[in-house]
Amino acid sequence: MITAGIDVGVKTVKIVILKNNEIIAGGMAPSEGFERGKATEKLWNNVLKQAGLSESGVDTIIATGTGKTDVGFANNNVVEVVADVQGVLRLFPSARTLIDTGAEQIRVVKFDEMGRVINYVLNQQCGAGLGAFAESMARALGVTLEEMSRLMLSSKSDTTINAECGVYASLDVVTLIHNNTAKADIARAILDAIANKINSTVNLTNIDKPVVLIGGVAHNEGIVDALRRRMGIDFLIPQEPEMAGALGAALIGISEVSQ
Amino acid sequence: MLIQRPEKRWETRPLECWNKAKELRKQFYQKESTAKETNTFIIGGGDSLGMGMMVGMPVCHFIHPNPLAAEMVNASDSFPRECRAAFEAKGYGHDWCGYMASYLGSMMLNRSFRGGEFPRRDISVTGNDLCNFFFKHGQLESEYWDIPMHHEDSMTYYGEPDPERANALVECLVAQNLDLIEFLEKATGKKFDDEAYVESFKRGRRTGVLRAEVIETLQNIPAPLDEKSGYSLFTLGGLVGSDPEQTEKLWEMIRDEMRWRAENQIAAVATERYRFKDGFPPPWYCLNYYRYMEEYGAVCVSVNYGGTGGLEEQPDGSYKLPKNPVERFENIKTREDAVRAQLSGWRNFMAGGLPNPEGNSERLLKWIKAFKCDGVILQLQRNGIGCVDKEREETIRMVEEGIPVMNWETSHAGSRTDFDENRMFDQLDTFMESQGLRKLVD
Amino acid sequence: MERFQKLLEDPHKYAKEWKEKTGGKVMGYFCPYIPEELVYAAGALPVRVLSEPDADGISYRYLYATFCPKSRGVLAQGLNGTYSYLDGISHAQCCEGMSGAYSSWRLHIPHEHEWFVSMPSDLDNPWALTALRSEMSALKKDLEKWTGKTITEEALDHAIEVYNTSRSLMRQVYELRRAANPKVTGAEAFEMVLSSQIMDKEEHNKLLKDAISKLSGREKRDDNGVRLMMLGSDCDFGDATLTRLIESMGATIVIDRLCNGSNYFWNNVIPQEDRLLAITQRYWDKPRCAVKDETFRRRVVDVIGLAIDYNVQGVIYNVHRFCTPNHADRPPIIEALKKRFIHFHDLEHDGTFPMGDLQSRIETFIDVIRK
Repeated sequence: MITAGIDVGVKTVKIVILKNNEIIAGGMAPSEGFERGKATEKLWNNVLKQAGLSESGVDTIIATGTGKTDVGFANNNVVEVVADVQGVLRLFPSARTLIDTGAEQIRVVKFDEMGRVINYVLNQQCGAGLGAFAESMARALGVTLEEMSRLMLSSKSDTTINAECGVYASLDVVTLIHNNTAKADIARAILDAIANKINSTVNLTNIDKPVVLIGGVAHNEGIVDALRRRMGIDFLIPQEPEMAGALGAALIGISEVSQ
Repeated sequence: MLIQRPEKRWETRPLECWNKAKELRKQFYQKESTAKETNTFIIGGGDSLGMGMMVGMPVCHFIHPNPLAAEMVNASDSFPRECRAAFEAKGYGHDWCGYMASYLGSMMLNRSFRGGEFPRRDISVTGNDLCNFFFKHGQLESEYWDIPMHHEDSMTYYGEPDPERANALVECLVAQNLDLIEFLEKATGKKFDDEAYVESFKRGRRTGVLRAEVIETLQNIPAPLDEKSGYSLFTLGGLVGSDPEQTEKLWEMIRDEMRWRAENQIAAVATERYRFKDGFPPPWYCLNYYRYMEEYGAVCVSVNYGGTGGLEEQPDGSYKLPKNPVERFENIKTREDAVRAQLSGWRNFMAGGLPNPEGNSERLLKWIKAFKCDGVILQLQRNGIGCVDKEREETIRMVEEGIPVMNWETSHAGSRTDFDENRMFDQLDTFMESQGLRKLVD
Repeated sequence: MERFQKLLEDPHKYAKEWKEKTGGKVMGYFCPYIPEELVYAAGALPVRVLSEPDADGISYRYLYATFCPKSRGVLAQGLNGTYSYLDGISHAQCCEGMSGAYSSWRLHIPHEHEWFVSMPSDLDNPWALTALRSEMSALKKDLEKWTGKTITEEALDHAIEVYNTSRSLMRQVYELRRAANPKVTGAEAFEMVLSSQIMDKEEHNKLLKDAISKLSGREKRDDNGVRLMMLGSDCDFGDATLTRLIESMGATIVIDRLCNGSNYFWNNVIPQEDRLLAITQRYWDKPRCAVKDETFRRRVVDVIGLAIDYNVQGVIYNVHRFCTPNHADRPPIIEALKKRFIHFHDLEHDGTFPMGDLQSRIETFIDVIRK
């Protein structure tokens, strides 16, 4: 049995193909905004090629992500929360909570050993754009997001900025720049604010350990470090944290075909 | 399973009481539109006992801003947005209650959403200081039109019920409400008709019992009435005051129809398989959300304007009408008797304080059990803080009790500037799918 | 004057030491409509719960994002144990932000005792005054039960005297600010009144008397800059940061009408036979804050009167984000200021003060006034 999961996010598209429950191919590419349909198709063709398959060779295609309904060739779609849980459980069977931090959304999901969602919470609107905010602040500091993360780790400052609103946070950063605060300290304040926001979202509900961190932000060492300090939790982080949703969607495809 | 089909279909029928309800509502609007010709005083104001008193002053027509604003935002996106913009341009903050901002903005633009000018208010009566805006808007209205204003407090406290303390606070409210009657006499130059008021009060109690009987039927599976329809009905006789005798007759009709529907398993939603309670106030500009949920076979059994008023909790957790629900009001003879009787419910409420997250959470849990709800959807209002003062506490309590609960964020009753419909429907999808439910397909 | 600033550097130190020294009970309050005299007469120490920004966002669990930063800051401090030394908490019916913080505090933070004053909103209503008087009786009984101490008339008289003295002394300080070149800065005055809210007023009165006596010998400053008034939300996250910033840029805050500023002490208890009625009347007659000016509007006249008395050139209307009462009350006040050609500037902030932004705004504002 061959199934595929396609996760169309705000920034990236991710695809995983499973054959007899094993990953045989996968890939990630930018979503390209208005052109996400084309970007998804292009990546799909590449991943099929990687797997040595044609589309007709795939038993079912399940889409997820904010752009799931844009995948016209998918057989069905599922919400991210449901896909994420399946993907995470597959990667870490002992996990009981996942935190998915993408460009625009934070999801915290508590689940049981069977993958049933017990409760979940999404970030509230205030502070919703913090991922995008971090990128724009990185540009203001003249560094990439990765460089900002490395800078942060070299700072011991406890300077804080507003973690509630991107507008107020920007004003705080402007103040720090005008006060000639060290770049590393500003970087730390920015990434700490994001960690703060993630932690506040987690705090909106109850969670269980072990906790898995997925989504693009899980690559950012600075944020992960800040989050670890705030929450006092050692997270489990997959090698490819963005792929969990696509993996989960493909796994759901297996149950669909089996039934 | 990703493909889900209805396992059962209940019979459905349109509500027979609907046309009668529409007729009563129309009557209410006519009184407003013909106020000049009939020398009727239009009273603007918030929730208060005063509304019930209007029967004793037939020359007065009370317009509550909330249902008016709800209608405004339901009818149009652009007009409430203009009203809000006009209101904010005067320097009032964006976080004003959306009801009041829309209502006051419409007043400032001197345009009614039904066309024509905004009908002038002659008197402002605000009461039941349930939130800062309820109270404050009366002051703005009074200053704008340069009209007399009357106000009543709402007294609450936290802790165990304390009769002595409650008595002292209630006496204040009784005095304020009796004063309102004298105030109306001065403002209108007319005598208050005590007999009509007392009779109307008793009729109001009987109507209240009828409403409670309707709510009782909602415990039935399938639910005979859904929330969206319920909103239109339940404001009648409450916030939208029409002829009391006709209102009572309407409620008899609704009660009989709901009982019949419950006995004969006539559903509000044919594919009912999931029942939920939601919060307050609803997104008046997006009431199609209830229809969206019906695609999942989900019916909302809240009827938020009804509550469980008049029903008693039973040992098995259900709610039933008490024995002799109206007889205790037969001894009401004077205006003071009526005011005291009307405040008796407040006496029970006041000990919980305001806000009362603990009490509200307990009530919510009981409601969920009695009305056999599977989940709860609680909206978080981005303005109008009085409507979001306990929702997070209730949400946490639901999480702790293992009850599926969802929050979504909305612009309070006003324009949709803070509202993203796609996001909301995505969130509804997530909520339902996280419980293993998909939209039903035939 | 530095003493007052020092007291605020650790606003909890005094109450903790007082507790240890006296074995007495500390009651934290959220709103200054609490009749502190009663609490004091019962032998307890009333302290105002000050706000700090909720940097870790812990209040969001219980209060939605549209609660003001002050209310969330107050709850956060309760949740993180900063106020664990409080024995009791108290609040009065006022704005929804603080009422939300109070209702969540009482649910989640252990406390021995609580009291809520049903403070009416219709402050033109004689029956509401009677209701408030009855609240005082109920509160007195409750305090006696809690502390195990009978509140005698002598104790009440003493409490009234201590509080009246504090208020009169603060009025003296504020009177000095009417002068063309005030000897006391706005930051100093604010620190004096704020520090009075976290300690025994009898002790604080001694500090005040000493400070006032020293002020007369102070050198006048050559240029106090433009004369400004502060209005709006509580101007604190526990200190005078904002006031100092403004005054560093060529201005002096000569007067305010803030809940934790002049509003706190402006009027005295007028002694009468019925002490509880005397105390009731004092809180009844307080200058109206934004939440309590809801019937016949008095606040505008009060604010303009102060602005004239203190020869104010400009008003800073500083509001927390989501401070609904002050956002509600702003337009008529601004209209009144415009009619008298008094400049004004709106400031809004969240849990943090964006100093860079504030600096440029205030500089510009002061510059416009000078010109």
